[in-house]
Amino acid sequence: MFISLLITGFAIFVVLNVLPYFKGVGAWIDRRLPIFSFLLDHLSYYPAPKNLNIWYAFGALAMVACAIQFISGIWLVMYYTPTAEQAFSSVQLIMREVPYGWLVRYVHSTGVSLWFVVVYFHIFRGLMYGSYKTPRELLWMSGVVLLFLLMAEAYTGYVLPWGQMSFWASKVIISLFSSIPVVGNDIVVWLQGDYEVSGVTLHRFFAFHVVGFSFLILAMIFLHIIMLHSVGSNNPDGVDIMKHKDRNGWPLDAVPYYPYFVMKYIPIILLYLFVFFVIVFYAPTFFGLFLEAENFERANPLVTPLHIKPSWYLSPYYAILRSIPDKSLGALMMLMSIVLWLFLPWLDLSPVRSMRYRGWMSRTALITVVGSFVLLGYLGLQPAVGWYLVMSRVATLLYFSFFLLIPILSYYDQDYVVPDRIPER
Amino acid sequence: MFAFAVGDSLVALDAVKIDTTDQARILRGGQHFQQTCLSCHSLVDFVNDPVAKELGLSKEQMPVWPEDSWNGHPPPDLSLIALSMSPDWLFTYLRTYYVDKARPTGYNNLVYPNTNMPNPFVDMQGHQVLINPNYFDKNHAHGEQFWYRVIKLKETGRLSPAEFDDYVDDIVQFLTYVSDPSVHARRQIGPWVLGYLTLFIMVTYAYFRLVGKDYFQSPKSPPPH
Amino acid sequence: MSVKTPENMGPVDELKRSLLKKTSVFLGALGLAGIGVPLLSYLSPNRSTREAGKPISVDVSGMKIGEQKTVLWRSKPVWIIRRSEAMLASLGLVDGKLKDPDSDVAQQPVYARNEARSIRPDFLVLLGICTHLGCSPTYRPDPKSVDDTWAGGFYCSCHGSKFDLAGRVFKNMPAPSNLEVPPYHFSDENTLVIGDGGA
Repeated sequence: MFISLLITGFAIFVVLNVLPYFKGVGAWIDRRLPIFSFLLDHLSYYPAPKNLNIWYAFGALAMVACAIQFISGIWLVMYYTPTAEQAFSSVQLIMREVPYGWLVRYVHSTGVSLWFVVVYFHIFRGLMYGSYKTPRELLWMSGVVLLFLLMAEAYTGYVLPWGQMSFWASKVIISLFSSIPVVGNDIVVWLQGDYEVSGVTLHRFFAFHVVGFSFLILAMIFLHIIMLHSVGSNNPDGVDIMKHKDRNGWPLDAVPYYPYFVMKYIPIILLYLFVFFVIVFYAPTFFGLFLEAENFERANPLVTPLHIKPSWYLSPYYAILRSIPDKSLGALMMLMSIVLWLFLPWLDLSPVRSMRYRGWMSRTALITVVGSFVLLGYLGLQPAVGWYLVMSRVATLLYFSFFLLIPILSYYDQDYVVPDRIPER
Repeated sequence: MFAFAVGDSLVALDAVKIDTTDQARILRGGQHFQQTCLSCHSLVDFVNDPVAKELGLSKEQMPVWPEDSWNGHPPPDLSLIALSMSPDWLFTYLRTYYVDKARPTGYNNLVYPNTNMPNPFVDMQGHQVLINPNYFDKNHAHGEQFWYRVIKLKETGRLSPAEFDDYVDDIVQFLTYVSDPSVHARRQIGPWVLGYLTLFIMVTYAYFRLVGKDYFQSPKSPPPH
Repeated sequence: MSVKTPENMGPVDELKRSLLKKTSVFLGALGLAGIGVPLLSYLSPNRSTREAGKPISVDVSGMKIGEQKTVLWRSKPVWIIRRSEAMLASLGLVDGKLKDPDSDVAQQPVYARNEARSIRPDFLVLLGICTHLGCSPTYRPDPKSVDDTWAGGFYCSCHGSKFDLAGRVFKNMPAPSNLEVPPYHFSDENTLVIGDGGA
């Protein structure tokens, strides 16, 4: 194995050294299909504000996470069988009999959790530096849609191993649709394709997971980047770098994305992979948080597990659902907890983008909404009893109060003066 | 930090130290499994594993139970039991049977109350009896009490208590391996991958530092574009 | 676009820079290769498939003279044919019309490289897959059943390739070589083991 590794590495090395001699071919193609200049424009010449910090690596990391899921996913589908009878054992076939099947499967199961970690940090960065504010409203909204698609993708994928949690989680989520007035129950049967969650449901979830949502995610990421590159990156100071350009139209406070930022983010991507593989090799279930113990038991429609809990990345929304003692309202608020973010660009009335120059009111609001979200995430994994329930109600109130208060707070807040250019360090 | 309830255990679970490198012990546990458990429990997913080959486990030896056998509670397959429950749970569960005339099998269990599984270790462990019957009223559904404050060995079996603990420990080691045999490969490949990444991080970071100099530590030079 | 060299950058820095860049590219390539190893290994037959591809034993005691028995080994049809004296005699007569009468092409284990292409002349063991494009030829033992000069053999209905009763291909046929003989041996008088050439 080690020898084949060396040989392949050497072969790639040779290819990389030979490629430059074929530049003429590239130019010939590029005149007819501008694929190379497109890549250069967006990965190399893109003017990035010179003060982008580590927080800005999360966007690149999200792309890496996406690529990991796609590749490992394609490989898993080669053996996975989407039927109620075979699904569970086909996962075990991959884990035990297929060469390196365990690696591919653990990469996929770890990958989804870390993708969410990265995406949540990415969103937090957007909130912190005001990346949703004009002219980036659509960019922000496409991000919210992406989060929603990612949740749908993760949920449909979670059902596929057809363990106890897969089965009961799919039942719980599908049941949410029954809270729609009048047609709710019919919609549930229609979604399931059966009178109960069954192999038919599993099979269509497989279709949505592998082809449906995944391709929507790819398309949406593409749009997200197009939007980003047409309005340009925000930066930690929230300064508009396009105001000051040199004779050639290059923003004075920008540096080309390559090599500086590419080289800045590559070690961070590798660090991400380091953490990734520590989990894959040494704690693939991550203490029951990435792969739940109950899901190692085959789906059984007759026995409900003692504690049904969602994956950690969906638990904040689940906590909101449980904290509201009304089925329809709970489902609605769960939906609103994401949908409301779409309107943030118009709810935040402050002219200042970055929290570096915002007053204490806006800062408090941000800390409150993020804090309550994290708290809800913790509470969503605990049983909804006693103090846990009280706290999740408080956290839900705090979370939604953000959307009510932010227009007022941002309007009356004492902001600092934003510099004209990016300040020197 | 992450305490996740498995089953509805009434007592605190004993911690068992899993040593995935002790191949001899895993094999010994496998032999114990063949003696004590295989008559009822299968390991369907495990049959093609090298360790199964070494033990002589084959698909033909695995019991197959119809859904309606054992009053609708056929003995489950144990291929993944150490992941769906936990090694600690197994280790404590298998050692906390006690005499209870009210149960059809004559035994009850502290970790898994009213279990349908008959006590498999009567001749080895002997009989344990309840010494603290009030326990159930006071501590219902709290996994705080230690099992040895609730039940006590009354009559020693073929094995001494220490020998018996070892015996069960071996089985738990074996079942833990069975639930995820990739552990050997993971431990083998892991250090190489992580070492490679560490080296790669250091090299690329050093290169980044040099690139950074072009932009930020030489203010005299013009912006490079 | 090229990065301009600042005045304060000495030759030592330049060397370090190029060295680090080359090491990075090499490590990156190594990483890609490292990703390739599990992804490509994943595609090879899994443990159950390999388990199913093990040698199989066939009881040939009940076979009548001239009878063909087809068994599956590694999902491929394997023919076992008990040949009569007359069939064996026919092999010598067609030599001149064959493409490879002496089995020079390695389409058989060494122990089957003889005129009858078998260990025991009366039992022929062949992989029932035409060497042209993978169809399965039919067993046509009766003389003149395919054409006027037919002395018995195998006929591939896909593209018309003809083989004699030892699986040797005739001249000017689409099939390039003789039918393949799988590794096999007799573990006892009546038991044939296919997939293993024996000791």
